[in-house]
Amino acid sequence: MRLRARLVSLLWRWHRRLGLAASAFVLFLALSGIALNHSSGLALDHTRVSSSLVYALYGVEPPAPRAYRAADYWVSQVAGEELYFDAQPVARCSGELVGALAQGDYLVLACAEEVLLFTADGELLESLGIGAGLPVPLQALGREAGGLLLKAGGQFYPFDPDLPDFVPRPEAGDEVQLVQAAELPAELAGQLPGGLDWLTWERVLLDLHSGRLAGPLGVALVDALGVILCVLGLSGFAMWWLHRRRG
Amino acid sequence: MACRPARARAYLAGLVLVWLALVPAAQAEQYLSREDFLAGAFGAASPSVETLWLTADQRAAAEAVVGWAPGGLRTRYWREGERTAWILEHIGKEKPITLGVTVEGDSIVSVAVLAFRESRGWEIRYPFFTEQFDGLSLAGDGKLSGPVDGITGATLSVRAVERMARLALWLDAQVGS
Repeated sequence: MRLRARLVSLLWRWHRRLGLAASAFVLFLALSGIALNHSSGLALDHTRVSSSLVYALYGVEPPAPRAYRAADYWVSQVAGEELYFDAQPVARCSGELVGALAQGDYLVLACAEEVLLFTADGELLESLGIGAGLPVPLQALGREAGGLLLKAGGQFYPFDPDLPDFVPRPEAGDEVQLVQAAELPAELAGQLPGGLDWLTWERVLLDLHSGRLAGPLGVALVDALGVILCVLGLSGFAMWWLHRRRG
Repeated sequence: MACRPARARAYLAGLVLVWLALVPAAQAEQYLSREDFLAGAFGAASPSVETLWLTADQRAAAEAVVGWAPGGLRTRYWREGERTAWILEHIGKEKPITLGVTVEGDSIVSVAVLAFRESRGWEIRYPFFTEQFDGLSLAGDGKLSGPVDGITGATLSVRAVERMARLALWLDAQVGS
């Protein structure tokens, strides 16, 4: 009887200590687990991180927008596929923006896998992709005396927005001017959403939940917590069993 | 002690790089070229390339009937007699699927997946799925006239193909036979 009382006392003492030590972590894991279960509903899976602290933790640089000046607009794309006229989102585009310019009544935006044609007022006219015979991935958009040119696979394709047909031409010619990216004015850049497309709050929460965000120590800590929870379960069961036998 | 944070950051950067390397590439997997699709749709005939301009009212009507409308003001298609062919793109889960639909006499002649960019759901390209659309037309409620069996694990891709097939039928009705 005496041995059993001492055992229950020891179990109880350590059960309390371990429970207290683990409580804050258990609370965090429970809440983060619930949040991860509902990441889509909470928009965590597509909300990009803009915190410079988190970028520093991951050891990556926040992306800079890629921008071109076309007609009266600054055309830009930040990390993902959304395109902006100045600070106004206008369309999604497959692949990285490689050029933008105004030609006649058109604004032509070239992405790696898609060309978008807009009216001079900024209304989307047409999207041309693989289905239209577009050679991909596009490398650049340019201009020459005869009109527009697209560059893909090292070859140049004359491009007429009214009659898009993509027949390669081996030589670029001397007068070709490829559109060059420009630096977006800081005031405008500040109005655009930043962030890498893969670094969402769901990713951060998942890495916090698993401990990976703190490196090997974090993973070891979460592992230790798992062991403590097992011990708590076993000690709780043992105390119940010993009390039951005594009763 | 001072080098520990740097080591942790390097470890995290390594993890991120490994993760990035494992992420499936976003490049399109092209199964069929435009030329091959049109050759299948029209055989030896030479279809003319035509343009359908969509007003805001027409796009609203497409939204109401099909639940989706092309984003642009104009859509190109190919025509030979009563047969039309449409190449459309619609997002499955995150990336667009490129689909070719051939229509004649208000019914689908064939459906073919030209390109697929998602990491899952590519099974929709196989004939066991696409052949289900043959002969279907647009019912009064804007749905397809017959059932289309889904594919486990490819629900969103199946849904995108159904929408594009319905839109192709609706567009064909706009240009008249």
